[in-house]
Amino acid sequence: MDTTGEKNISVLGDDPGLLKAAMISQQDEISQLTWLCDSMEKLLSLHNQEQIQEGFLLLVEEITNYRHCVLYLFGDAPHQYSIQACRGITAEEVQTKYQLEADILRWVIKENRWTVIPGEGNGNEDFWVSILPLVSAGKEIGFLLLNTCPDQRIFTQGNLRRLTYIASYVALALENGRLYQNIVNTKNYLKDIIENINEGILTLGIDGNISLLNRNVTALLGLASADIVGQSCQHCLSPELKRAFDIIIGQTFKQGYVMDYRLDHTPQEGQSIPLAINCSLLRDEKGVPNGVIITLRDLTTSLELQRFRELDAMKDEFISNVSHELRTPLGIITSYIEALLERVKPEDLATQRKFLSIANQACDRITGLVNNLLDLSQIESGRFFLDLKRVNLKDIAVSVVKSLELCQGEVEVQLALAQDLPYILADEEKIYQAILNIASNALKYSPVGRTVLIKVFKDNNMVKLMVHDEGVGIPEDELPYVFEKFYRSSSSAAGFQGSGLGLPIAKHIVEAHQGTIEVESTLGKGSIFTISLPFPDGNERGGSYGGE
Amino acid sequence: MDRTTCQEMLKIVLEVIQDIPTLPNVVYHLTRLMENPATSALQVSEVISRDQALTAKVLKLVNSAYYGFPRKINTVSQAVVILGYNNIRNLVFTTSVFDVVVKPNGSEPLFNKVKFWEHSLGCAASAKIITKKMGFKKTEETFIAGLLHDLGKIVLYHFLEGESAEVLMVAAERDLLLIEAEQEVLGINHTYAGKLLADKWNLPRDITAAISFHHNPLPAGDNFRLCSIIHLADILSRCLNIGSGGDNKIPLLNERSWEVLNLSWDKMKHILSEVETEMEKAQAFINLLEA
Ligand SMILES: [Fe+2]
Ligand SMILES: [Fe+2]
Repeated sequence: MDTTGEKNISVLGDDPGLLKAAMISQQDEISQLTWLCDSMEKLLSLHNQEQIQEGFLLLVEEITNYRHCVLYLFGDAPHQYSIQACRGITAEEVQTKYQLEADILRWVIKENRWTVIPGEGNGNEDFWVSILPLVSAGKEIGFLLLNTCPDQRIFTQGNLRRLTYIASYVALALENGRLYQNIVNTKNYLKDIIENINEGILTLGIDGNISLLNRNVTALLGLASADIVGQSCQHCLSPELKRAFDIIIGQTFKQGYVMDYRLDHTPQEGQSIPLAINCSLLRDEKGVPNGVIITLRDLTTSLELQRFRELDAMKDEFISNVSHELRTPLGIITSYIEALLERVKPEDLATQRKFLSIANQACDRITGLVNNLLDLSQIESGRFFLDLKRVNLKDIAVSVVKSLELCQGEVEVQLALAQDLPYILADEEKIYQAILNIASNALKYSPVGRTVLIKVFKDNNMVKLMVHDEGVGIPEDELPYVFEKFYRSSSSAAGFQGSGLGLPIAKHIVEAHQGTIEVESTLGKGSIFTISLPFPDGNERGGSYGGE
Repeated sequence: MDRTTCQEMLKIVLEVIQDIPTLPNVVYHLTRLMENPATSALQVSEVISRDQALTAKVLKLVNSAYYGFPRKINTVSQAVVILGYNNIRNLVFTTSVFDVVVKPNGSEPLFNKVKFWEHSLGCAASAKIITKKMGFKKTEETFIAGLLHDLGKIVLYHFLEGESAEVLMVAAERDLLLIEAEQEVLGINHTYAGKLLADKWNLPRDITAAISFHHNPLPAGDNFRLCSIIHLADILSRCLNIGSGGDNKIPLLNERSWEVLNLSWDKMKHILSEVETEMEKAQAFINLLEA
């Protein structure tokens, strides 16, 4: 038993003595409370659970001088608790030394008061076990188990008051720390999502100031810095973007949203990003608009995919065209040879000859088609080489016309050649093919009785070859596409055959010679294709037209 | 009532109080001891142990369903470390007060004694729940204050008797609050009579304040909040028809008190639903006291 207690009891009858002792203790209590208030203030300002625990256990040690203590915190499930911290004892030792009885623990926590647990060494034994509940605003946070000396000076009413007071503040601090951590976690999680989403996200306040943006926005809009939160959106954007954003935001305030606004944005020279911009209103909890959220999607990949899909469709169509092209001449060959074998008399040489020549023409068509296909595959795979020699474009034009005579039939081909043309450096075979492709194309689209005029002349520093037909012509909106691979004019639907390969091959050949190919056309009147090829310096001889 | 009769009445009341026995010595010793924060559990238990009857009663109460501790408490010093100093102090007070007021010379008061204590208990239970719902820890203090709030009525209708019979008649005939009839007939009401007895007994200051100001908390000073809780609890107990304090009227709730308590109607609904369970526990407490 402690001696102060003995003295107090012995003077119980002596009122002045007791009063004096009480007054002194009250004064001590007041000074201690002031000190305690400061400590509590410090604890409450902490957000880190470890620091709060540390401060708490130090305070309790000062008051109770415990031998050891164990801090338990409740989990999310009711009545589930686990050891959070130990002082002077290990967690394993705690398991063997203390078996807390659930009903007593419940009772102590409900009463929310520092309580000595009887039977656990209470009384004659050499230690006391007590429990200090941690409850904040009705929420049970945990409890502290204390092992102290059985000293009467420890469990005084002053200490009971103080510890209960500390415990409720620590419970509050721990709960605040937990909530703070939750907020931080949620914030990080959202930040993670916003930063890693595929799209650019940008939010603006009602004042037009940027309130949030992610990495993708800085990349897509080509912003110099991501550190522009709080700045006016208008100051950070290029004039081009500013205009687009004005339209988008204006529309959003009018109709609530903007869907897939298309913009080809140029963040820097030579770089173009096709963007799809969505925008919708942000509202506060009362439903009043307080800003807009803008999402930016880079369409480069999806546009490429779309082009691949289109190419795929074109190839399918091409294969069916080519099959058709091959089947027609093959059908001719088959039927004429059948006739030769079975119906034409061996002595009827004239008919035999006629049939064979038809079969021969059909063979030529197949050969031409296969050659075109081979050229195309060469061009596509990059195995395309020129064998450059000095040649005269006039000579090539003449041999093209000669080979066309075989099949020109009802269309007349006229040739206008300038004299003294400068030679060019060219792969004769390939230029021949380019001109043949264009000229036969002209013949194909010319009605019976019309003329195809081929002119060769010098113009400035170019030698030009012009193919002028009086055919059906090409609609204006199709002109930009006539040199594209697999393109077939809408007129080809009207009974004209063709693989859609002749013109692109011609264009490729001419451009490989540093030349150009152009087309003009008037629907119903005809088209003019012009090939221009450069000639080397020093062989300029000038020239005038002359027939051949 | 004129001035002279009023003063005579006061004199009579004072004489009556003079004759009411004092609380046992142990209560005063305990009060002194409790004023010292350094007081230990052992000191408290030694003082109580000097009174064998009190010791027996305390052990019976601490083991009652009212406190609901799941194990048997064998010694007073255990009771102190388990229930805490305030619980033990309140328990000793209430026991002692009941010993004095419930069985004076075996006579019966003018009103229904059972209903009176039921009313007091209803007020005590309500006060405890209100305190809990407001988030304060001093639930035991408000419970005891609620239990003793109408102590003055014991003085007027049990010890004074003759002169008070008229008060009850007037109140019943004209449907007045008892405090209004007391003022009219006697010139002194039960809050004042109660305060005089509390002073004589040296009751804790907060309990004395609750006795004095439970009908009008405004002048209660530091104890305004406690007195407002008792004021509201008194009204709740009447609204819930728990027992009777001698009249059947419901007093007006003080506006300022309502403001300070800052209870939403939602909270009030919870309070009302919890009072009943608390009443059952409290009844066990009273039964033990009366035994
Ligand atoms: Fe009253
Ligand atoms: Fe009352």
